[in-house]
Amino acid sequence: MKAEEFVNRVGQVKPRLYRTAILYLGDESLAKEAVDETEYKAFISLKKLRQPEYFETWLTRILINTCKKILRHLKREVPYESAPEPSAEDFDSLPLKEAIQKLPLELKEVVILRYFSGFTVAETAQSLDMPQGTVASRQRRALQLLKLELSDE
Amino acid sequence: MNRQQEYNALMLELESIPADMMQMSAKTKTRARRRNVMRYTAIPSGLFMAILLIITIAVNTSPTVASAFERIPVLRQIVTLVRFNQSLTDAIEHKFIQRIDQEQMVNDITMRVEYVVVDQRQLNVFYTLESSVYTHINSFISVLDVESRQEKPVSVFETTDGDLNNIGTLRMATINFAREQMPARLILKARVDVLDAPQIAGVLPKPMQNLAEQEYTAPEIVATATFEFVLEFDPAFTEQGDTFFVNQDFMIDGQRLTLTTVEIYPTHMRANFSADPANTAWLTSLRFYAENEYGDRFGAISNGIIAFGAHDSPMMVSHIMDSPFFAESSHLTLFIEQVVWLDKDMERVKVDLVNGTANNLPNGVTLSEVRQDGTSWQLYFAVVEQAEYRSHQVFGHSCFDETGNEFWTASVLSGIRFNNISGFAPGVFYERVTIRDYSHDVVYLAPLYSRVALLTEPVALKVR
Repeated sequence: MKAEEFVNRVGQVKPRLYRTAILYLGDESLAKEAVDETEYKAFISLKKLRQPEYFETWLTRILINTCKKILRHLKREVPYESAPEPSAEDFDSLPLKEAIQKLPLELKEVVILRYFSGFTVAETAQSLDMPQGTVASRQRRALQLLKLELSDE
Repeated sequence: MNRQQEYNALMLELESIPADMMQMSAKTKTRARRRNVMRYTAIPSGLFMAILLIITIAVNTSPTVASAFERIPVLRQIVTLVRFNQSLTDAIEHKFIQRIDQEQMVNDITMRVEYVVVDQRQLNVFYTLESSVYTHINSFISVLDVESRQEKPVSVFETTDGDLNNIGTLRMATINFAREQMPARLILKARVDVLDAPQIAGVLPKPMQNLAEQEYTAPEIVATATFEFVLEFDPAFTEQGDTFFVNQDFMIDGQRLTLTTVEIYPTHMRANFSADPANTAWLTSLRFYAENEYGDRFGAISNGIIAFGAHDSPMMVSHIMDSPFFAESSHLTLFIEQVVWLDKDMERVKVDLVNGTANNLPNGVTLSEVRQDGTSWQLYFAVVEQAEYRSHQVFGHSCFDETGNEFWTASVLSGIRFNNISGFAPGVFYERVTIRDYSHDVVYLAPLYSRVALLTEPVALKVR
């Protein structure tokens, strides 16, 4: 893939990447940073992408890993902001956006990709490098915690 | 609002993305270009060093540290900026950071020095350049002695999370004192060249250079500003660092080396080697790691200066690694997995420009094509990757004519696929050496290595 094509294709999926990042990180500047870093990492390792048809899930995988790194560093940096993990009941009282961010990471990444970034179960599984059955069970659990009733399609 | 309504509202909210998001593509290209330049360019330094390119103490009681954590938002940016440097991340986690908080304004540009992470041998300065008038700049950091105002022989490596040309981002200058101790005070000098016309004139910055196909041409400088800050360091920081005398001889791939000392600083670790004069090859690079009694590994740094060279030979004598300073371990062993040599009879290799031939090139390197354009030459070398999808620089910037007169290449660009070279094979990248204003038929290039030896068993050297 040439640089020009890369730029065009990233431009097409950037809104989706940003949506994923902002829900994952809960902060606009961090989300922008994550997308920027993802774009950069993808650009310098473009040769690793042997099957261009997986471009978007490949980018998403890079984005998720970048978001995880940022979260790890934020946890180290600002211990004062860390709060205890909420119990299942606590989700009811939280606005949806906050509730998503309080989800355990493994549930959060599934629900964001499936219901906010518009990925299919197969695409989500590919992006997160996990079986489709795991995606299905995690999305069910996440929706239960969030008290959301969304289509499985 | 029930959950379903919340979901619909959130989806609507997420439809809008920040307008500046779409501008990042150019930024990515620039970062990638800069990464290649920084990673694969050997930069000449001062009198002593050639530098190969491409960081719990009792400080908790220091008043300097007490004030250091007053500016949490900036610290947050700093933590993000150093996230790929384990030593600096550890240092900051242990509050090994000093607040500076100095600001100057010159010619509509404001430079603000926020913090430093400093020890006996390395200074990391975190600073910003802001302007309401300009958007694109080049900055050049140097260090002066406070009394004599002489420039100190240091190496400087600048980093930012964005584009180093963009104004407004947090920057880090890593300044290595290769042989000198960190002074108690120094002058941090920054020369800033403005690359664009003022925004008020409505002139946009020049478009990006095409990464692969065009030569870099220096942009027009429309204004300059010079800043000088006197930085005074807390001795609680600049005293930190230990040297372990190892002096262990060992044979590796038929050559005899000695691990002389290992220096452990909060910001980095240096493994220093000497070589038997009878060796047939110079040590130029190592792949190695150190391990403590807990199994924690400290590897080569991923970004920045990775080794310091000797002043009188091509040997790289001091190799930089992540630091175990904060690991609170009492044992440390160095493991060498791969060694890169420059055979002494290959310090210069001859290229026949007229016939397009070269003999005795480094392993895995072949001359692919020679192109002439007037008095300029472009030499294309096909290079086998040493690791999958990883390119490296083969030739240095010096070249010589038949009588030994030294010239400088206009550029050495590696790792990029050149579209005008056919038959790009997997596992192979191209390096292009450009020589301008050269009227001879033969040129001698200076390889940075001649062969790589991957060891079947790592060489283990006990440090402490």
